[in-house]
Amino acid sequence: MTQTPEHDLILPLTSFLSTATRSPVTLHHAAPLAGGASRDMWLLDMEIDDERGKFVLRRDPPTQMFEQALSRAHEFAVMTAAYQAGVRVARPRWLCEDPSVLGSPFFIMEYVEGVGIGRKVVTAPELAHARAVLPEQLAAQLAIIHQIPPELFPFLPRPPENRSPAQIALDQAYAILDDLGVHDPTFEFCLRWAERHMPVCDRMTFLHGDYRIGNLIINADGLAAVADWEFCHVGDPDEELGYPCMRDWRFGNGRLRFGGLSDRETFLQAYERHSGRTVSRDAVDFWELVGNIRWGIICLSQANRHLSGREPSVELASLGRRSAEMALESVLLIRGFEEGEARHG
Amino acid sequence: MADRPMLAELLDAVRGHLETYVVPALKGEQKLYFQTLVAVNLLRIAERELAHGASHRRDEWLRLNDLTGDNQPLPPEPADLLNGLETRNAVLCAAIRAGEYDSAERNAALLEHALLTTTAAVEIANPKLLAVLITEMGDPPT
Repeated sequence: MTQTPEHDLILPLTSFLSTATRSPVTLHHAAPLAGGASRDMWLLDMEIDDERGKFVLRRDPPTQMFEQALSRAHEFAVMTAAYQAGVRVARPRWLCEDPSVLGSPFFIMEYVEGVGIGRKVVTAPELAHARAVLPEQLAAQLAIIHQIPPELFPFLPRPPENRSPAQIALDQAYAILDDLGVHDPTFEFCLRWAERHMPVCDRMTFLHGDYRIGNLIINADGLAAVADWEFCHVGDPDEELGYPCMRDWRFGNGRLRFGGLSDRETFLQAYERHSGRTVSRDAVDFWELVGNIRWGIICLSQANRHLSGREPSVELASLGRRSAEMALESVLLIRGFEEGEARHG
Repeated sequence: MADRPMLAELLDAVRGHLETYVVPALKGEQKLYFQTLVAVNLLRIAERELAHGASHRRDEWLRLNDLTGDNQPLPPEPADLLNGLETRNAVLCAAIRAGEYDSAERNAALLEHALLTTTAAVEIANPKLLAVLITEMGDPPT
């Protein structure tokens, strides 16, 4: 009888956890989460020393999709720091760096009940109250995240000495275009405009790196947990204020600029109150623009994985055509910024 | 006499078959169901490209003439037009990166060109989004 992937997990995992907890462990059920070919997330239903609970296992995939993504050990470390700082995050429990247990390093965190899917968060009737309180909550949580000392984590990607976070972001975007051999006047126009409007970053901070609806677990009371900490890095905190305002992260509620939940000022003013820092709206504009440019360029890179034959996939192929959506959004943003400048001087 | 079904009709036949018979039969296979929806969407994009792509490329060529001041005759063969656009766009990109479009006037002209090019692309890739963006013009989200 062939073993299912679930069976491959149960014995080594039970053995690892028994040792780690020095208690009897019964793994009742393991189910794959979130699909994906790499199958690197599992929902565990287990009993440790008579206490039954649900946990999530996150394992390193066989190939690294993004160079900038943190390893499981590093993700475990930043999540632990966030948990200790008072951020709402799934509590990380056990880390295993020994690849012989499950094939690659993994960690286990407590399971947090709630809705993660973006479209559902912004439209489900039962989450109406949550949507009303989320902008304030998300601003408050972000202010805490930005206070986590980045020096604790030397492994975090950070701009080199002589380059600002803004400059690095543009460098990276240009590098992907050049690597792909793409000649797109729209992206060139947008990057050039961005280069000529770079904000000054007074102080770099710890950043979550992918803070937006879709990566947040929401329940009826609002934010239940901030998920997906693999893109943490050190940079300009204003990047993290513009990023969640991107149109794609409004999941169809385009008119509500902050995550399809509220206008932008509601979120920014709350962040200013909780962080004690005055935020330049021009800087937030810049980072929303750069978020769109980068996402548009990454789409081209994803399509290339299909076109090169490395990973034939209709999903990857379709991203090549999605790129134009972000390009158009970027041009419209720039036009809006220019018109705003013309009006106010 | 043209072969029937013609190219557009072939694409439509395949799309219709997938959408009507295959997608509903995949309801129990979450991943394959989702991927086939994506495949159906790609066929819709292909149909729109077939209908509008050639005229978009011709417009883009003529706009490049205006933008760059370099009046090149429109290549009659589609393959030559495609290759020609790639060559001209590579030259334009280098010029933008070198700062040749930084003046207020040239930048405004480039913005306009970029807007029209991307609008045409989104008309093919996602016309529903284009409709949304058009309704927002003049009253953008704050």
